[in-house]
Amino acid sequence: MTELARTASVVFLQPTTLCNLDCSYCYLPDRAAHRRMSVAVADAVARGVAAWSLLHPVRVVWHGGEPLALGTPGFTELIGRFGSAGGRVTHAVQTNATLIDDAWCEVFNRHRISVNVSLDGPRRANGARTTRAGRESFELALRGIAALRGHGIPFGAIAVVEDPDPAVAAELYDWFVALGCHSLGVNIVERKGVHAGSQVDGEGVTAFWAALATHWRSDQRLRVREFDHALRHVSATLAGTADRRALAPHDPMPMIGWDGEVTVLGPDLAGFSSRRHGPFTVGNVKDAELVDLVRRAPQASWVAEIVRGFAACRATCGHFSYCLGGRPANKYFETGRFDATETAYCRNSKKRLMEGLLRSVGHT
Amino acid sequence: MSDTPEISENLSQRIEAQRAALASLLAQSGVTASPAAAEGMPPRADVLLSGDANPWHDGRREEREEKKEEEKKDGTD
Repeated sequence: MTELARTASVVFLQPTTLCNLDCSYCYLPDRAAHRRMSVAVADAVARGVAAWSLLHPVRVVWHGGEPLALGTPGFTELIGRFGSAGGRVTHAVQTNATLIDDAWCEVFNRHRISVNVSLDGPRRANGARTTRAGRESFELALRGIAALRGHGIPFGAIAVVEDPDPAVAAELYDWFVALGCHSLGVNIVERKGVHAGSQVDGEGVTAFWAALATHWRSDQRLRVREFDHALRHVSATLAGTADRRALAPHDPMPMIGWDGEVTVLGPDLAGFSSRRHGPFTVGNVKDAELVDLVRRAPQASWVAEIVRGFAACRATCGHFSYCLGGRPANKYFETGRFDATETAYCRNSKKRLMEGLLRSVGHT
Repeated sequence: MSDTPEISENLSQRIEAQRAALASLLAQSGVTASPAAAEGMPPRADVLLSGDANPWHDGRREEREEKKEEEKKDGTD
């Protein structure tokens, strides 16, 4: 069975390692350094994206560091290297919103960039999101979001929840409704990358998801990414197609770092290495074509170990057709191996999420 | 494999047991198993369609055969 698809429908880019914030839970290494992607690297990625776009639409996600730290001239120079392929290549940006101003809004509009902001809810929930000088970033983010709203630019939001208290679930949801976003992603804080801090892991997380689900069911003004995903599995299960869907290959989701190094299966391994495998890369776009690097990715020892991890999950876990083998980065940073199975991430963000949703529906 | 007893292991049975209520919620929410295919995008783009620019928690495509079947139904194949 093929475990990795040969083409990618989602491509992550790291136009710069720099982030102007210093969030305490961030997993990214080197985010104080301003290493910028070159035009040559962007050209190489654009060639790969153009090739895949002949087969299916491709979403390019400008990730971080903080992609807006590049400044509008640098960013537009890089994004300008990508063709639209008649609308089959689209762009999205994941940003902390603090640098958004009128000039950025014009860039978003000109290049039809989908905007997703990272913000954790009301002011008191944003204590981890500080500037490099240690000051809170909350007002800066709200100012950027006001600019988006002023320009009529729709946006989604992702919140990291450090304390999944059921008592604050409804308030969190209502706050994002009032913010004006169209969708919300909820990430329970994870221990991975350079973030070695505390990690919640217990029944309280289920209660949080149940409370959030109950509130969302009564007021569905926002799409909640996690509930959408859980309900897609529910829909497939009720239709009898869930097991068949789970046989499909993983999208390789390449992440191209600022220097052209290519990581697959998520952006959160970029820049890391291990003693056993060396750097978590499948090659560099300056040395080989992106399409070839992705096609050959399963030959890398660390990718092969990831694939073994997917197989282990498939063989041992009753939630496999829902979670599809877990997140490689969480497996590695929690256990030291990619062929591990269950992680705290699995429990908090998959199993307890589904359990909370089912409990909420069961109590109707 | 889980040693956390508050998580039930047989997920599909749990879902089947709540079929009526879950079907109602699905209808209310408008969520379907494969909205991306309906828009001519790869199924993997499902997560993006929910407004998420950071979908890497969920890295898998549905079967291409499933998409082809839907395209045939639409007469676009």
